[in-house]
Amino acid sequence: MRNRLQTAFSGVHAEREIKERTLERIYAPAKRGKRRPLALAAACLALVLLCVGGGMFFTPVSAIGIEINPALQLKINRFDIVIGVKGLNQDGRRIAENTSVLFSEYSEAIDTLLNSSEIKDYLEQGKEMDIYVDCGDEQRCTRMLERVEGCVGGCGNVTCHAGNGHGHGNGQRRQQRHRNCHKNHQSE
Amino acid sequence: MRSEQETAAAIDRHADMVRRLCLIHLKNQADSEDVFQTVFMKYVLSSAVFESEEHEKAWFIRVTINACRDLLRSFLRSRTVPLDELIDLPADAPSESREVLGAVLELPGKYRDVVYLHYFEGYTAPEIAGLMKKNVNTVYSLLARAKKLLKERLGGDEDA
Repeated sequence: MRNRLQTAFSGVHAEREIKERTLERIYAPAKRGKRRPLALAAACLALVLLCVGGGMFFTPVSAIGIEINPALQLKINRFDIVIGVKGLNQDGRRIAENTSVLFSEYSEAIDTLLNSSEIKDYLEQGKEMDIYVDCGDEQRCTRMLERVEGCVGGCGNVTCHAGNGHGHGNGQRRQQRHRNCHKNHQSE
Repeated sequence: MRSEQETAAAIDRHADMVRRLCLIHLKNQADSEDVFQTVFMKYVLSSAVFESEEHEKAWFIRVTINACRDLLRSFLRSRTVPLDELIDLPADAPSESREVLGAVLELPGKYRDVVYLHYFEGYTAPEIAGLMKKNVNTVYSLLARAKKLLKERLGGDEDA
């Protein structure tokens, strides 16, 4: 019986994989621990970048005002994305609530708004629409104005303006800030 | 904490024995590997100074048997159903060896350690008593009963 038991137990060995895994699991945490400062630094950097990036994304650098009877204001960030939609009167607030333009590119947003049934109705009734581009950077202003004009190219009674600086009051105040880049599509 | 080289050398020396002790207690590979790692982790963290290889071997036997018992007593294990079909006999072992190992595994738990330590590792009853903190006569009794049960199961001659 002794021989039989010895033969049987001799056939049982610890597999090479178990030995390797055991060594790895015993010593791997210590090795991983050495990488922790690097991982922590990377995580901090990612957090900083996220905060800075998020801050940049959600900081408006320009605004586009739309007035027909409803009055709306779109806040635009440096990436030309709409980050805020505000109705400046009751009709404007209703359109702002019912139209989804948030986080879309501003030319798409204007396109969407011009094609909304309510604004279409006003335009079809022959009402005049004013679109104001307002920002601190003249180059950006000119570029945005050109794109906005491109968007409204097909609408006869839309007037595009560019203004300086932030802060958007009522239509009369904006009229005072109009620059020479005033274009009236109706006359084209 | 012991170095990786020291541990690797200890694994080379005692892995097979730890694996066999796991086999007779735990029957399945996953539990065996858990205990295997626990035992060598204890070795790494232990500050015990071994006077000889025999002393070290005895330490591993005690720690492995205790680790197996701890696992069997654990909260989770006591509330799960053992899957006996997972009995982890070496797949490539000859049928004779599988039969013998099967017979050992069918012994009540209290007999398996003494059978393994006596018949394979060559420990005497007093040495086993010292290792397992049991009375020598108890070990003799366990060995005698185990021998009888194995003989009934496997047949063959009794040995000294």
